[in-house]
Amino acid sequence: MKKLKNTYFANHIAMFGSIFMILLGYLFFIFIYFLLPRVNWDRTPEIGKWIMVFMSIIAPSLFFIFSLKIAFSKITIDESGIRKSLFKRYFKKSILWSEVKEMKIYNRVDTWIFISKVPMEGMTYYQLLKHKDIIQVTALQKIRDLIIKYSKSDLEESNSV
Amino acid sequence: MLISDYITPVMYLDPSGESFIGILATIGLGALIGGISGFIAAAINGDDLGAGFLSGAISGAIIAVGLAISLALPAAGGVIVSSISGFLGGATGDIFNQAWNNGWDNVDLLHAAGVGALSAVFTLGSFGCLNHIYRTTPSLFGSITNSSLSLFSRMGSSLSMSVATFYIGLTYGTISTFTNAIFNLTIQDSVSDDEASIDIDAYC
Repeated sequence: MKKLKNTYFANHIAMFGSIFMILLGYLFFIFIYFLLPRVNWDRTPEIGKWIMVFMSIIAPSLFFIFSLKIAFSKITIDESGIRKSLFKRYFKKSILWSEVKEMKIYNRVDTWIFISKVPMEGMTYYQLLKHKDIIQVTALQKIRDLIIKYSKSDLEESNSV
Repeated sequence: MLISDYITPVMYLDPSGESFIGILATIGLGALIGGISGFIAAAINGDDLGAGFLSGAISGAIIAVGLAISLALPAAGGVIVSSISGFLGGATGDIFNQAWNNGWDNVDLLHAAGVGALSAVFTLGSFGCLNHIYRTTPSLFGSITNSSLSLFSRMGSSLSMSVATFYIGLTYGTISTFTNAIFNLTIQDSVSDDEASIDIDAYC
């Protein structure tokens, strides 16, 4: 019997953004340094060169490193609850189904599900993102199916809004 | 207890997770409006129209992607992504514009960096404005992500992101002409006052 996949990236937009930033920056630098005629680079003042290097290489690289937690964390959903971690070792966070106080669907560019151990009433999007007892996960159909399956609840009933 | 007992949908649900289509449509619109804006600026300035459209479209697309991503991130991440994408979008568009008009051997990278820097500032401002709009009028985006609507309806509804799209287009048009005017006035000695005033007129 085929094993049901129950592990997904928690934030595919952040992952896309992180990869987009570093690809865009590196491709931009390759473009201006290697593909454009070298005479353009050679006659650029030092300050211009440093600005280009910082914005195309250093800043995207730093962003990539600091966004690892958000962009590449994975969630695992099973009978016991939902767990989130980076490379299975770092920034571990887990919530048992029995601990769930509230689940909120929030629209911000894409649709997200926030699963919380605490009431989320009155919290802003950023507060939800930062709270240690709240897990944010993208609302892909497969993930929603898993939540419905393992929590033995019917998520569709909340679609009437 | 059912999930529906404690779920509080803030907005519409997107059962298939396909709201990215709305974003892609907006990127296309960002490129189109950026291109038209660049085209108009080029027409007013007497520059090459193709270069104006291409550079505007490139900038508009890159900045639209950056803004879409930055709005989904925590605030600090949004600031960084919008700044970097604004810089790279503006600089890339300006490089293509210069190359088209002056040849690939005559690209002024410092000029491109200047355009990129101003573009970054404006994109950061766009992020701030859109972030505020998102927080205060969340229902604006419901018709894009509500998958019970048809695809065309949703793509059409991405026009409801007109605040974002027009802001991107107008921002680029403003940046392009304004930056050119400033640079022409302050850096390039060979540029006549007449040409600079044409640029300023275009900005206005």
